[in-house]
Amino acid sequence: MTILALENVHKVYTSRLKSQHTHALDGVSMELEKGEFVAIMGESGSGKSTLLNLLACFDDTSEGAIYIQDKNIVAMKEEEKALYRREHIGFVFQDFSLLDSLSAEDNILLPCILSQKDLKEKRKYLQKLCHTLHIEDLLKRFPYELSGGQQQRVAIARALINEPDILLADEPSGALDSKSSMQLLELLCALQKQGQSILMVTHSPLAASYAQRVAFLKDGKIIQEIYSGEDNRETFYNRIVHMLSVQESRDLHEY
Amino acid sequence: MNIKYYFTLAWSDIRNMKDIYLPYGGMMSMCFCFLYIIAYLGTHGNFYSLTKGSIMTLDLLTCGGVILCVLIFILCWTFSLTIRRQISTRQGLYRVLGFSRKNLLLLNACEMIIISVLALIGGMIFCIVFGKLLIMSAERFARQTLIQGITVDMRLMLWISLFMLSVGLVLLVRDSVYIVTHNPLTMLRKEKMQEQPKAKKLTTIFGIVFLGVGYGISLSVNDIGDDLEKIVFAILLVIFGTYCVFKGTGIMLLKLLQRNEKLYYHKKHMITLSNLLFRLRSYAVSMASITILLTMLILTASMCISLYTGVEDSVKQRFPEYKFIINGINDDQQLQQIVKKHHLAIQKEVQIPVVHGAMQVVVRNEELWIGKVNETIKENDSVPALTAITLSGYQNATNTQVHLKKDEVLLLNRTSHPIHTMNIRMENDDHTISIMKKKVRSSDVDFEVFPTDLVLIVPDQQAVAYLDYLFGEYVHDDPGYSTTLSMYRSMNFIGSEDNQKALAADLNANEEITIEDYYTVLDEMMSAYGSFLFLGILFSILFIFSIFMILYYRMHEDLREHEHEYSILYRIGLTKRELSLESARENRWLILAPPILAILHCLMAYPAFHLFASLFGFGKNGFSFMLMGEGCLVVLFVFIVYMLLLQMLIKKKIMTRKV
Repeated sequence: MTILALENVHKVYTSRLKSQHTHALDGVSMELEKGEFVAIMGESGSGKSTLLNLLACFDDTSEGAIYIQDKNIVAMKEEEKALYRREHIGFVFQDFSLLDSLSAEDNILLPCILSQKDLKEKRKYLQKLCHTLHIEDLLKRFPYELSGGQQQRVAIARALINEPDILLADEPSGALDSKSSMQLLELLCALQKQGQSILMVTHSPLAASYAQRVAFLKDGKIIQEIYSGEDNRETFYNRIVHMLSVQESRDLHEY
Repeated sequence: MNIKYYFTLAWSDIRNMKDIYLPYGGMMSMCFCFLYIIAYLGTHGNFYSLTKGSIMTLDLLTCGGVILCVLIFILCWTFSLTIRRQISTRQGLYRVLGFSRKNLLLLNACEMIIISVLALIGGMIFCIVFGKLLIMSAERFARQTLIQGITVDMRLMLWISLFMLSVGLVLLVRDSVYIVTHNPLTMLRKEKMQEQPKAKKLTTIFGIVFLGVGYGISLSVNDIGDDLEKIVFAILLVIFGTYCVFKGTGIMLLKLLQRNEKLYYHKKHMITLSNLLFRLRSYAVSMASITILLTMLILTASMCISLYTGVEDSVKQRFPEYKFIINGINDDQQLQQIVKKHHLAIQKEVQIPVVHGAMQVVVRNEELWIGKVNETIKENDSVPALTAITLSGYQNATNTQVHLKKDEVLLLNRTSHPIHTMNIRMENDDHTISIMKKKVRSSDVDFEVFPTDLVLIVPDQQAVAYLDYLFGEYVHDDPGYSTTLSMYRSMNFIGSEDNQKALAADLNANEEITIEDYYTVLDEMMSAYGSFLFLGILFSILFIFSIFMILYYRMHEDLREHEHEYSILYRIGLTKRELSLESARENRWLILAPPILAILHCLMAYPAFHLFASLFGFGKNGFSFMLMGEGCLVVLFVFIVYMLLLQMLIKKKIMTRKV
C-alpha cells in the first residue's frame, strides 16, 4: 500500500527582484510503501532539505502533487497543513529541536496536547515507546540534562507519539557520536519492523545502509534508486559507497 | 598592537551593535543634559534676590541634583550590565581568536572611551538644543525669571563631564574584573537561560512578608513628619519585596499551577506556563525594576501635578471671600490714600478685632486648655494653633447674630477632637495657679479668614481680659501695657489684577503692616511648586526612558530566542495563528504584571501620599486620589497599547516568515 507519492514535483526559488530562478526540485516523482524505510542521499544543494520541507508541509510546491494516504497536501490551506502535519507526520530534526522549557515527558506529550488527544491513553502508549527507545528513566529530565543521543531518542518519541503515517527524519544522526548514531539507526530499523514508514535524508552512506531503499538526488532530480533486497548491511553499504564513487567520477569527468 | 587598531576595532564593534549602544548613549546624553540644566539653575540663579519661593526653589534644585546623580549611576550600572551580557559572546570569540586578556581589556577601555566621549558630545548638543527650552519651561512653571539666559559654562560642563567619566570608570573597572575572571569559553557560552528556575521558598516568603509589612506601614501612617523613618523603611521593604515577589513568588506560583495536571496539560496552558516559568528567570529583575520605576513615575508625576494644578484651588480656599487680610493700619484715611495711589477702590471690607493671632494651646480629654499650659503638656495631648477674636468681628465677618453669656465662648473647631469645655490656667501674682472654666459653644459657620485649627470667639467686653487669659498672667492691669486690640481688615478691591498686585507689594514692603493676600501667596506657591513640577517632569522623563530601555533590551534578547522556539513549535504542528496567540498569552502576563503591581503599590502608598498632599492643603475632596488614579489608568493604558503593538509586530513577523 502506497503511503506517500510524489508526482512530478517542482520547486523553483525566485530571487526578490524575480531576476533569478533556482530549480531546487525538478520533476521529482517517487513512492513510499507502508512500513518501508527509504533514505534519500545527495550532496549539499541537491534538493534533499527542500524535498523534506515540502513533504512536511513547511513549504509549497511550484508544480506537481504530493499524496500522503491518498490526500493531496499541496491543495491544502495553511491551517489544514498545520493540522495535517500535527496528526499524520512525525518529524525528527538534526538539531533535535526539543523545547528547553519542557521536560522530556512533556516534550513527547506536546503533540498530543496540541491535538487534544486522550492523555490517559497516550501515556500508556508513551510507556511502550519509552521501552522501545530506552528512555524510561529520562522522562523527568530536561533537555539540557540529556546527552545528544538521549535528546534524539526523546525527539523520536515525540515524533511518534501521535502514531503518524510517516516519520520524516532530517539527518537524525548528524549531531551524534558514532556509538549513539548506530544505536539510533538500529532504533529506526526496529520501528520500521514494527510497521512504521520512514523517510530519512542523510549524507552518510552508513546511515543510508540501514534503509531498505536509497534514492540518490542530484540537481533536484532523482538520478537513481537502489534496493537492499536480500543484501546484508555491509554489502548494501558497499553498494551505496560504490554508487557514490561512480557518481563522483562521473562528475569529475563532466567537470 | 597599535592603539589605533584598538580604537578602529572598538568603533567597528559599536557600529555593528548600534541597536544596543545607541539607546545607552542617548540615555547618558540625556542625563548629562538634565544634570547640566539643574546645576546651571542652581549656580546661576540669583535666588536670594527673588521674592517668590527663593529658598525652597534652591533647596529643591540642590536636592534634585543629588538625587539625579544617584539615579544616573544606578541607570548606567544597570544598562551597562545588559550590554555586557550581550557583548560577552563577541569578546569571548576575540579571546578564542587570539586576543590576550590585556588586549581585551584595552579594547574594552577603548569602547568605553568612545561611548563616553560620544555621550558627552551628545549631552552638550542636547544642552544647546533643549537647554533654552527646559529653562523656559522651568521659568514658566515657576512664574518668574530664574536666570538671565543660558550660556555655555565650561567649568560646569567640565565638572559634569568628570562626574560622568568617573561613573564610566567604575563601570570599566567592573567590566575589567569580569574579563580577568572569566575564561574565553565561559564568555562564549551564553548565560544558562535554558535551565529550569528553582522555586526559592525563602525568597518567596521574604517577598510576601516584605510587601505585607511595607503595605502595613504605609496604611498605618498617621503623621508624615513623625513617621518619616517608617515611610523610608516601608519604601525599602516594598522595593526588596518587589524583587523577591518576581524572583520567588512568581516562580513558585507557576510551579504550583504546573503541578495541577488538569490545568497544565491543556492546549492553551502547557507552553504558556512552562515558557513563562523559564522566561521569569531572566525577566524577574527587569519586571521588578519596571514595577518600581512605574510606581515612582506615577507617584512623582501625580504628586507634582497635583501640587501644581491644585495651588490655585488651595489658595482660593484660603481666601474664600476676601483677597486681602491686612493688619497694622488702624487709620482709615491712611488706607484710603494707599488704595487711591494704586488706582483701586474698596469693594467690601470687614474689620475684625483680634485678641491674639496664632498661638499654641492644649486639647486634652475633650477640654481646651489655655493660659499657662506649656509646662503641663503631656505625651498624648493635642497641641493645635488658636486665634482669638471678638464676637462683633465674628458677626461682621459671618453676617450672623450670636449671643454669648458671660461664662460662654464660641469655638470654631477644625481639629478632629471634640471640645466641650475650656479651662483657663492662670498664674496669680503670688505664683499660685487658679483655673477658670468656660462653656464652649460650637460655631456653625466655617470662618476661613484665620486658617488656624481653632478660632476662639470671645465676648467683646471680655476681650481685654482674654489678652491675659491667653498668656496665663495678669499683666494688662499694669498701666505700661497696651490694651488696644489689633484690627484685621479683610478686604476686596475694585481694579485691575496688576494694580492689586502692586498694592500687595507696596503693603508687603511696609514693615509696620502685616498683610496676607491672594496674589502674593499664589505667586509664592506657584514658584515653589513650579520648581517641584519642573524637577518632577525631568525625573518622570528619566523614569519613562529607563522603562523604555528595559523593555527595549528585553525584547531585543527575547525576539531572537523566540524565533528558534517558534520555529520548533511550527514544525511540530502549531499553525501560525496559534503561534501568535501563544506569544500573545505569554506577553500579556509579562507586560501587564509590572503595571498591575505598580498600581497596587500606589494604592497602598496612597494614605501616605494623601497625608503628604494634605500638608500642602491638597488632601481634600479626593483631589490627590483622583490624580493618582488617573496616573494609574494612563500607565495601564500605555502598557496595553504597547502590548497590542508588540503582538501585532510579532504576529506580522510570524505570519510572513518562512520556516
